[in-house]
Amino acid sequence: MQPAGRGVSPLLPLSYLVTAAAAFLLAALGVVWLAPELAGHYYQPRVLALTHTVTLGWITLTIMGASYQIVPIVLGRAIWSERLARWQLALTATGIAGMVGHFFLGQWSGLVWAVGLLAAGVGAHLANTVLSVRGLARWTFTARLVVLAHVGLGLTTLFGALLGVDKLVRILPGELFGNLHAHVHLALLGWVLPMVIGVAARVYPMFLLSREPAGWPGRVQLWGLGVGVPATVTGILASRVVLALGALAVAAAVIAHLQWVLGMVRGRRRPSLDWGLRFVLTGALALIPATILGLALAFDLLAGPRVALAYAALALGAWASLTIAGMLLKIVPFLVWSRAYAPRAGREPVPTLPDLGWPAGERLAWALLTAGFATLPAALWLGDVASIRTAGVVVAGGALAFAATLARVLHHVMPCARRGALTPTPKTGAA
Amino acid sequence: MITADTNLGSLLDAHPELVEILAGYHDHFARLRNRLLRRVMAPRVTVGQAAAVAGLPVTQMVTVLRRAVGEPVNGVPSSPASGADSPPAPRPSELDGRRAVEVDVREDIRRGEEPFARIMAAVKAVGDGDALIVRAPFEPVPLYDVLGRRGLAHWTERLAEADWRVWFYRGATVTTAPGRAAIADAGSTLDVRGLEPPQPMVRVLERLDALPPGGTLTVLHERRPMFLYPQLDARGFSHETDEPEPGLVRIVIRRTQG
Repeated sequence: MQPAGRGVSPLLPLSYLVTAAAAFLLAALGVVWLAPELAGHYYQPRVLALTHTVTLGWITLTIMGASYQIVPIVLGRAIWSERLARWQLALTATGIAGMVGHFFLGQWSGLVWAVGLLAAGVGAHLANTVLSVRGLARWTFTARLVVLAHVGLGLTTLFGALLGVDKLVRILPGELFGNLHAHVHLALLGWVLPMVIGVAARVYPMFLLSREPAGWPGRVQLWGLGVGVPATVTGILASRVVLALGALAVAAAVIAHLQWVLGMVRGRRRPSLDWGLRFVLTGALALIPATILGLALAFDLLAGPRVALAYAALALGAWASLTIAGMLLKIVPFLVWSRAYAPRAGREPVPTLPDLGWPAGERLAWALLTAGFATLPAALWLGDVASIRTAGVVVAGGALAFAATLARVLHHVMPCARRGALTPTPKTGAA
Repeated sequence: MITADTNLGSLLDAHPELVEILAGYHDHFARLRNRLLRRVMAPRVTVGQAAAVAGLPVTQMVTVLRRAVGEPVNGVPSSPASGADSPPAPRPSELDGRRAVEVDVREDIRRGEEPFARIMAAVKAVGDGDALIVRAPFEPVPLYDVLGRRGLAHWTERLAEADWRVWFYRGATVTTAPGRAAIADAGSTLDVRGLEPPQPMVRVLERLDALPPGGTLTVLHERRPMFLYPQLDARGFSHETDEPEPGLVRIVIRRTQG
């Protein structure tokens, strides 16, 4: 027996997640605004600004914030330094705002300080994570993928910084688009994918009330990503054959992940799925067309900027955004509950998590975001401004509903909302 | 012909419309409208047990079901009132001094979840000197047979309108009888595995609120409860955690101040 580690304040991950949700809303509105640019080539300043709002502002900040809640739970280790994590948010968010702003203005020289701040923030996150997991007794599937993802994050940041410097002083060998594609895939497959599927293996059973997955699909995911991501990235830079082999390995990892998800859904004890879980499972379904399109690009069956944009919308929108939005609908109420009601639990009746949520808003957000992210890739492939704008309006409507849902949960952090919720009514009775 | 021993699973396969009649008697049976739950729950229950859950005489339940499917209603054997109306049995002395593992399934049932797997997982942890306490919103009559086949006797208390506490225990005689206070605070165990966050934290804090100074509570969990620890520290409890086996985390919590 040993004394347990110190828990993390719920306000720390919440501050990341609220910032990330704001970036998501901004990006969704940006799709509507930048529809004409999105109908053209993807290598334009404003499209790069939009892409980094999604990848850094929305996805990366969410993963960083969620990891400060989830990593202690799934790995059983306390965060090494909460203070460093708070500084990290300030550095990272300022860096992202600076990067997006300079991309938008097309001022490459101004990117330097922003990239520097972002790199400092990422460095703080890597240091905090490494120091948190050092000496871990059991290297589980999730622990290995979390470490793999953080290696991917470090390399993505380094590669991105080199790409930025390369715009001012030519330092990178090879052609621009090859380097750009390698950077994108390092971020998507080396950082986001292992983090999501690693955490999913511990978190999905928690919410689906199913057994934790085990067996050979886990080894396929570990080897598929461990071998496939370096092969894909080096293949993009150097060899089409290596790229094709790497893409196949990553696809095998994705299929194994989907097999686990399917097994958890089939073996669940929860008969009805809440909207958070529907988001997550819809996102998992989107991995199928995203993987098929990725393989088609890797095998040169398809090519060109329109297909690449459609692929990016499927991966970053339909898969990553729906999955992350679903996880937030589970994580944020828990954090708010921990902050607002855990100190009173056991002493007086407190609301349950469903009491904090807003199912109508969640349903509307799911319907609009699913419809929007289903049609946006097709609209981008066609390159039709009106279709892109229409899909963008649907996505933006979904993002607004999602933000309103989160805001409704977050208002419980306010003391006046807590007083209302603790008034003894049938709805707020304790379990 | 429908009798008290008719299996509910077979009956609903043949007459799915009976779900509505059962649902009219007790909210719990409304969950049988869900095909997945029906497949899991119904085969474990007889008509007689369903009557007991609903607090009805078995005769009345059989008569209603027979009438609904067009079977003759005469000849239904009379039966005593269900357990809900029976006078409470005295507490068996065998329960004194046992280490208690509690599984509270009230919230699971309220959310429409089937708690059978949680209960059966907890049964595995019940040794000869232990007792498994199941808290449910109705009398869990079907469990009596299921766990009886595993050698567990039971004793039932009705604490409130929708709050039943059933003690399941093996028949071994316990020679020491330290008394009720000792039962309440010494060596009691709470199994919160299989619950969705934050229910484990709520259950633990509810139990700790009644823990006397010096008393301990052992919590069986699937993971280290990182968000529970600050609450324990703030409320003046000391705690130690270990992992006796993969997937099982044990937290021993002790009240250190009054």
